[in-house]
Amino acid sequence: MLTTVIFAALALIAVAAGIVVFRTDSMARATYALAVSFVAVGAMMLQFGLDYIGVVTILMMVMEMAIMAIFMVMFMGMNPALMPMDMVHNKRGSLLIAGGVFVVLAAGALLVPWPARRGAPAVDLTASLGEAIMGNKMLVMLTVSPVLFATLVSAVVLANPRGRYRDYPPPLAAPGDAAGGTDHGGTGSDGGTAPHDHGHHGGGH
Amino acid sequence: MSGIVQVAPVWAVAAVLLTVLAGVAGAVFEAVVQARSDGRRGGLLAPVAETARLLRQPQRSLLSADVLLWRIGTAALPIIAVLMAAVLPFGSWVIADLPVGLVWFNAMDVMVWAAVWLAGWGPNSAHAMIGGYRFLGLALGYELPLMFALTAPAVAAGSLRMADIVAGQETLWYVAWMPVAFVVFCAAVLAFSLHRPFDAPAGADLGGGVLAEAAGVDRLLLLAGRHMLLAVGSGFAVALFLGGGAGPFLPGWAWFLTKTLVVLGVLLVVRRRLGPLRPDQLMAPAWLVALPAVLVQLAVVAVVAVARG
Amino acid sequence: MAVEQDLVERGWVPALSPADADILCVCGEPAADLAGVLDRIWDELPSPRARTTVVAAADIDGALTACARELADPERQASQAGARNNDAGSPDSGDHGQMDDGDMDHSQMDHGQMDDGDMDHGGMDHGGMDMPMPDGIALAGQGSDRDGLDLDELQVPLGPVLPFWPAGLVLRCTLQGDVVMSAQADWLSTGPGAEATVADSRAVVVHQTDLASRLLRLAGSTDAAGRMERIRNRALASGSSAASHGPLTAELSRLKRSFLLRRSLRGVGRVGTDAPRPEAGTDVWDRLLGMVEAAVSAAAGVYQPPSRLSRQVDAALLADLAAGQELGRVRLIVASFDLSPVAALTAAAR
Repeated sequence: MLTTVIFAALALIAVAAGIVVFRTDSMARATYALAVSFVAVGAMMLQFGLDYIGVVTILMMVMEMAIMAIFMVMFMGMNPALMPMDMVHNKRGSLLIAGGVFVVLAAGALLVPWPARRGAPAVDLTASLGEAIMGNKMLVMLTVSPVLFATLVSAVVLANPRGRYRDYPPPLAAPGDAAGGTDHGGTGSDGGTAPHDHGHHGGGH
Repeated sequence: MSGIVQVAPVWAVAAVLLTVLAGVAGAVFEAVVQARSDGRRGGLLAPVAETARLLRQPQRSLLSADVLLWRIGTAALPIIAVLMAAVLPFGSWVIADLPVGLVWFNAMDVMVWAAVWLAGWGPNSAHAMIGGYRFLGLALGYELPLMFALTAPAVAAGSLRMADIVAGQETLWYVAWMPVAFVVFCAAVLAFSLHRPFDAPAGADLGGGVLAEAAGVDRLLLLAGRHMLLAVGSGFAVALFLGGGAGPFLPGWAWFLTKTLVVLGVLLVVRRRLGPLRPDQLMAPAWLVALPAVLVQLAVVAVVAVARG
Repeated sequence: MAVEQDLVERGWVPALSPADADILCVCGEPAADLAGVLDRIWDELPSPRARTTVVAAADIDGALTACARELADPERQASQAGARNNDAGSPDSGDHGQMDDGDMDHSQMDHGQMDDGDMDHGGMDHGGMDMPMPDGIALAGQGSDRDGLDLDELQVPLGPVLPFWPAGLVLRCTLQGDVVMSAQADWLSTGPGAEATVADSRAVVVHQTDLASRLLRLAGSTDAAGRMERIRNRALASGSSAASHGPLTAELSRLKRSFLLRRSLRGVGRVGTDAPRPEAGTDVWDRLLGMVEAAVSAAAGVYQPPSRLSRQVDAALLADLAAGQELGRVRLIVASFDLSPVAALTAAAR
């Protein structure tokens, strides 16, 4: 009984927070309302006994929302003041699609005959869930993950080696002086730059 | 040491008090060290005096500040510290013996991201906002090395439960064969509690950063939260790498407390040797040094774990 | 500076922002426009608070003690707090708290920062856009960043009152996130009395160590900064500069040996070698060493009046160096220059 009540409460929170995302007046509030919604879903997964997946969902979602908030501010230039905003577009089309998807999913959840339970749930639900989903492809997944990760990191490092804080505008100097070297003193840190003062940065941080 | 036992939820009150006291201990130590280096007298009662002073102040209101998010951000820090402490085995007692206690700890330290950013965004002030940005930049740097450093004890113990990890150190403390993970973990603890060398988000060159606009209870919560996070982080360092409550003669909880205070003290003192890292100096060490090192460490741990059977 | 010394003796701490402060201590007589800045800063202090003005070094002790007594006086504070709450209801409460997109004055409480004592208040400008303006504040504008993306940018003026900031400087920055895309330096006009020319080697010692300690604090070497401040205070208190020679030389060699600090400051704010300035070709680290070396030579009795260029040239240089830098680096760059008024500072504690 208690579990049902908790589940219903979490479900309500998730949906309500989702609605708040579109009704609130500030991008930061919208982002964190979305985070609340995701956390509620993660808590629901805890109720299924999927401890690891539930907690990891909460972890990942809060992290993502924190980053998303920065992107919002970066691209939209909001300030913390509350301003009436309208975040919905294509109202009619999206309403139809959303309604349709909801009907289909609800019908599936309510009308599909669930199979009867055979045996008892495994001791380690996460492991058994993983094996059920990935089966004998588990080894492939385990190998692919670090490769993906390495690729991501290398791509970012290659694309933007000095990161956000490199010189801007890029110095017109020869490439020699921008590379490495912490002790270039006063010697030749400028080659052919504009005649007036120009800040140079001789090398790494 | 006998196994870890989960105590009744009513002991959570004691856990909260203990976390707060540990935070206060850290604050006192830090204040004494700071006063000594500034040449000022006193410092021993500084946290008490500071608390009294802050409680006298009303909270500030700023033009167009997002007050809801601001208060949430400031109040969240101490709450997160307490939630972290809920899975920490204190000697042989733990409030919540989650089967995924380690992941819970990680989830809570990600909540700190949200809390600090909200505390920076809320006041509608450029310096606080930049403090929030700096923290997220710093967090992206330390988080991956932290996650891999956390995986090392879990792989060695074969479980994500804090009790199992503590029990797995009965023969040999993990710090002995996972030193890189230990160092990275301690650095991450300093980072998510905004202490030097990672206090750029609250730095002097930003007028206090995320602390810049907070007064009264807000400021008290932020400062208390920082110290409590550091204390709980030190506790986790002990549980994960230094054997938890293991030790001769004294009961488990006494050893645990001692070791935590020692780690706390060391973390607070080692900062004096290292200046704060500016944001443009944070990324390279994290991604190019710490991450490969901790990955290699993890590979070593994994090989050993497989070899042991 | 004498105020700072007094604070250390009392065990008080200089605050980093008005929200953290209890006492506003103004050193020197403020010009009329500065009074406006100070009033806004005074507004930002949370109750309970106290305010005082100190003109001569001898007054400091009495003034600070009076402030302490005022803070502890519950009736007076309660009546003040009541008056503030009434004020807050008025429509002009926009000034209360005073933090909008663009505005940053953070005072540097209890710090003898206001060396000249005369400053104008640089106006605050918002990026005047045709956008919805809640509470009358414009949203951040759009500007392209180095990768060509259109990102938000804020107009933020830094100064005239900030911790470890040269008095009277207003650096109007266009900020994208935490990177200053462009900056423009303005000097508030200094009134009479800021350019007295009593100058001797002791004044040079005091001035250079003050600058060095500020830079060290910003760079995070609080230990070294504390030692530098103690040397400065002793030089200030004593009549001659000879006693500082030993400690200064020791400090200089210690700085040269500090690997982490050097790595951290190297390459920041490098001035081009073709610049018509005495600082051509230096970076922040070189200038830090230069400050301490100047103090050492002054303590040894060799007095050299500092060679200073006009403030307009300074402003142009700052704007150039600050462009494209992260905000922390901009603070370090600003702190690494000697931006006091052109005539040498007085030796009196202001």
